[in-house]
Amino acid sequence: MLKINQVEKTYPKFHLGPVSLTLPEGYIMGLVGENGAGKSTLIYTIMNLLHPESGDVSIFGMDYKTSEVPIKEQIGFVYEENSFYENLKPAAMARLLKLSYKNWDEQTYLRLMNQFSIPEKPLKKLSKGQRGMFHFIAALSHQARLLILDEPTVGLDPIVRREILDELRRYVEPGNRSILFSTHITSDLEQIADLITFIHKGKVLFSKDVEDLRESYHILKGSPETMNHLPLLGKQMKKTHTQGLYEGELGVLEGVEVEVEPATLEDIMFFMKRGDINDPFS
Amino acid sequence: MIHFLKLEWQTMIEEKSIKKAFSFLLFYFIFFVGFTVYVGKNDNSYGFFPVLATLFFLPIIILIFETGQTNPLRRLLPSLPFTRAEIFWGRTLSKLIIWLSTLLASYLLSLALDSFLSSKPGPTAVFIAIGLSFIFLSLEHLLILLSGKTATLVRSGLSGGTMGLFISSGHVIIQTLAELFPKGYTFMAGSFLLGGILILINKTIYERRAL
Repeated sequence: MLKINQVEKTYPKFHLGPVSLTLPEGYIMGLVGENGAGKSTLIYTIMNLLHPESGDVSIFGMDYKTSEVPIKEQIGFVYEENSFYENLKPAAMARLLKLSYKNWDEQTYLRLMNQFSIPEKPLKKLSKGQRGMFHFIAALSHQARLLILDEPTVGLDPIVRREILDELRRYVEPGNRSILFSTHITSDLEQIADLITFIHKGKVLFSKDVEDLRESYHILKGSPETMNHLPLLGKQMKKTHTQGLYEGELGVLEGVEVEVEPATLEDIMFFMKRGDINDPFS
Repeated sequence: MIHFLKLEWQTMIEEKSIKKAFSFLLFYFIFFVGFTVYVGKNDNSYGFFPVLATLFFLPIIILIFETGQTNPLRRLLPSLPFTRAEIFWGRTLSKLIIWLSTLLASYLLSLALDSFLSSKPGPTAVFIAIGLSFIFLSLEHLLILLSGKTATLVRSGLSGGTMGLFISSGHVIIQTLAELFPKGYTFMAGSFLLGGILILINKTIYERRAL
């Protein structure tokens, strides 16, 4: 569905890449990383708003040079900030989108507008959450095969967030649709993502199946002396113990006095970032 | 391209921008005619039409394409199923149509007020009006490269500045241009060349840059 091959983009103070990724049909990929890691740069590159200096992006087996319109016809997008006309009301904006997309699905649009109770007010007068919801509804209403969502759940209350996640799950059910979802809220990804891509300082640290992540990464807790001898990806001193992120087979740790806990996505991001400033093997 | 132009037209309808632009223009027109009457100049055949054409054109473009904080040419439109070339030429064509309409409206108004203000333009004034407003068109079109907020500020400055300059000294500017280019069409040809180059540079930047 989406293939990114050795994409690089350079700014005066930031370099993205080389990034290579594959998002197969029927999967939800979560894109995580701290502010300024390069998530939005990557998303804008996928949307052809940025032209990479090298590498290529292929979507549905096509590229932007030859098939820009058919590609965009099948992409639903939600940016972090409002990109619609702020003076228009949702119905008016929807009429413009209907005119733009061949496959606009009025029934889905009306069902979602009703479900999420979006008021008919100018977009600039809607709350941030309602505006985000409206973008989300618009993205789902033209039978897109790929959804690209840049921080779509920011500013939404937990109930609406859960409803959105349910919609996303329903969206990929047919098996021929995919979602690329960037967010800071890692708990959302843990609920719905099949694949996680972690970007840090413009580089992809990993792009893995969620199940592989659960099996590969664990939090170890033990005495500072014991922990100092373990190959950890990052560690944190606590009053009573030291804890750190461990990647690898747990069998190797047999006989070592440590407590093992599953690592959350947040743990993995936190310790991997720390690993950059602390020598994890000292 | 037709598909994009339909979207542009529908956007203008939804934003009610044509209605807003007409009410704004009425204010500009009354103000300008009032000022011309107040000055009491006998012969307005040189200045009236070019000044009116330029004054008409800028506010209408500003109001029709003003979209507040967001610049649709940077996020929304390039994400919809259109190529950047379609978006650029579609927007350019929309502006050219509006420009030609304002020129025609200004010409007809100048003719209509002729018995009252001696404002019927000669060929030189017509050529200068076309050239001058085309340069303004190509300069204003460069604003598509700016963010919504910055473009709004520059447009307001351009509109206010042009209004002040042209209402106060427009006749003198046009008179000077008419003396420099007595036949007018050389000025118009030069303006087309300069404006055309600006539009092509604009297109190249818009298609290649990061949005």
